[in-house]
Amino acid sequence: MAKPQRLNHLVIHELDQELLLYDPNLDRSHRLNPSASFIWQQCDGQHTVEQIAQLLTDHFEVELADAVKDTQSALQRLRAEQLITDG
Amino acid sequence: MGDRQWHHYQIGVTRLRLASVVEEIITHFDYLYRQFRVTDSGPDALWLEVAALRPKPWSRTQYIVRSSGREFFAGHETGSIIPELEFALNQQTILRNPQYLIYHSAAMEFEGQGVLLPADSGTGKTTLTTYLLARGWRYLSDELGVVDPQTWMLHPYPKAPCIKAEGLALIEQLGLTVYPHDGFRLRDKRQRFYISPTQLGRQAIAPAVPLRHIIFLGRGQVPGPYVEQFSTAESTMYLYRTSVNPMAHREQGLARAIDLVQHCNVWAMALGDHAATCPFLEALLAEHDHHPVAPQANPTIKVYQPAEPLCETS
Repeated sequence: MAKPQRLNHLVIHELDQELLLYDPNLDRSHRLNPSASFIWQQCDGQHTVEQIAQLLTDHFEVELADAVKDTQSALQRLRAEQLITDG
Repeated sequence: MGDRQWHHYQIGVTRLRLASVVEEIITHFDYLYRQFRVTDSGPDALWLEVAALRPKPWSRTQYIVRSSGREFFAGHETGSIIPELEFALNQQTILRNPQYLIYHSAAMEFEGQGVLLPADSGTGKTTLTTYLLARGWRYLSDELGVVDPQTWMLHPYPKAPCIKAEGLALIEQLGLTVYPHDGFRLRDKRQRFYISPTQLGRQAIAPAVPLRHIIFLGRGQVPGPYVEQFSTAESTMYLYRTSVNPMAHREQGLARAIDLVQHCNVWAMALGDHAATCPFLEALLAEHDHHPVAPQANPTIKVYQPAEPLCETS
């Protein structure tokens, strides 16, 4: 079961609940809104996608079905932007 | 540099020398920048040179703009040279000033405070700039906002405001004349007109001023003027996207953009009719004249946000 892992070479700026990430290898910057930031921070190589979705429901008081769908969508985007690996 | 006749200028942060085989180019350039003539621009000044080439005896003459080692093809018509010179000047100003944070932005001074007005091309920043000038604002640039990251001073780069044909009627309403009357054309064939900073009067050009406000210009869903505030992260990304020299600062560029956003009052403003937009903007700045406004309190700390857009990349 995939346990996504955030990349550790990124420069991280935390601003309120949002994150700005700078990738020095690709020279690209990213803004993650609060929910995306939360998901990215749970990508520690220990949590499965389902576990991250469960944490999202606890944190943001959202229905599990929506959380699963949005977690999957967010992880897909984070993967595409090379901000996580599949661990 | 041989026996060319060099003409020397200092346009804000940029010192340059210009030579041209086409005498009328010097006349044009002087019309636009004569108040910035200096006797000697110094040994390390940017140099711009207009040369003419005829690759074959039967070829039409081609004009080339050379700028400190780079060459720009300026076409066969002398009317296309000035926009190429302006383009080369902007490019070299960016390349030669890595110590500054440089944004694609208009820059103005209002009551002693620096105002950065970043906007995408075509939003209308030059037109707004010109209206603000007519109301007594002072000019720093209509193209590049040059910020010293050590002091947060906004530096002048008072290029001749450049407008396209669609802005012409508005400018003429203000009683300003454009130069030349029939415009210059660049490779995209669009007519460009310039407003001489000289015409604005010597007092209209501001010296370096402390940067206090950043107003992102745009078009709203409904007619403006109105403003919105963004979170610090969102404002930073907007600002960072307008940076024209991010590679000069690498990861520091983002950190400095954060510092800058936290140092200033930041809004996004939907433009409306200029007669309404200008006093609206003045009232906004007067109301927040010194102290940075706290970023909009994020009401979504425990409120789920939609998944899209979750991740914005620049």
